[in-house]
Amino acid sequence: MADLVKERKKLQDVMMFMGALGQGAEKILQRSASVVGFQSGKAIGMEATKNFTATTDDLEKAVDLLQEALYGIGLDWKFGLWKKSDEPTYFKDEGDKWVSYMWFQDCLVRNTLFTYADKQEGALCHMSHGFFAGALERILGGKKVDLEILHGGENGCYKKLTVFKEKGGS
Amino acid sequence: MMKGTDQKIKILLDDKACRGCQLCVDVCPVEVFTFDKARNTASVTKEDNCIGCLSCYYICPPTCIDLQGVSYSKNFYCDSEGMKIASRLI
Repeated sequence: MADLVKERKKLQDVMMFMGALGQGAEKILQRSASVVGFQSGKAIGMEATKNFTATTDDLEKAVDLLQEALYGIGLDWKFGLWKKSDEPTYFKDEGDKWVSYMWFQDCLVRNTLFTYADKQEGALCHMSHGFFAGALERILGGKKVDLEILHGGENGCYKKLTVFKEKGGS
Repeated sequence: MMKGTDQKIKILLDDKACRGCQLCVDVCPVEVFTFDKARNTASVTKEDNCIGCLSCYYICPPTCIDLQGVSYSKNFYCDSEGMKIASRLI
């Protein structure tokens, strides 16, 4: 138990530092801070899942595989696809891309920083989006992925997932 | 509908306490609530859409919304030592 408390404190300290960096970046770079956060998160996401070799073109399966890959590196991040009950499928074909919506709970950023009034939908949230997108791009064999935050709630977030049909990298 | 979870979210709205401010209708990103003009209260019309973000719960002024079956975020890291660090950094 003492080890767990120590580890949590270490994580809290790191996240405090990250929060301060994110807020500093937002002051100086303003809207660009989100892009910087997203791109750096994407690189980390790709790197973190490099040992997970399974790939698929099936979009729903890819999200399931991503959860498995993240769990494998010790990240218990709860998320999933979302659709209205009267819609037939989770993904919609919009010409050059597929679009779906997602729910997220137990996010690391919220769980560690929300109680300290760190603003949601900031650079740090975009870094976590980038992490998700980078890891999913790897599983989808290089198809470009974007994740846009539509609503940051107190207990969960609602996001728009876009997968481009062409392989694009970052 | 949330894929990948066994959460069965039930939204309880006390329509006697509802003041008809429509804040829940505005804040909900997945259109769970609609406003009933005749009764001047909100009503839960698409419960299946709920993602358990709790924004409606926190925004409701007379606290007439309650949710059951939601998995709550764990604020593991809220400790007094952390608050001291927070006051220095943020």
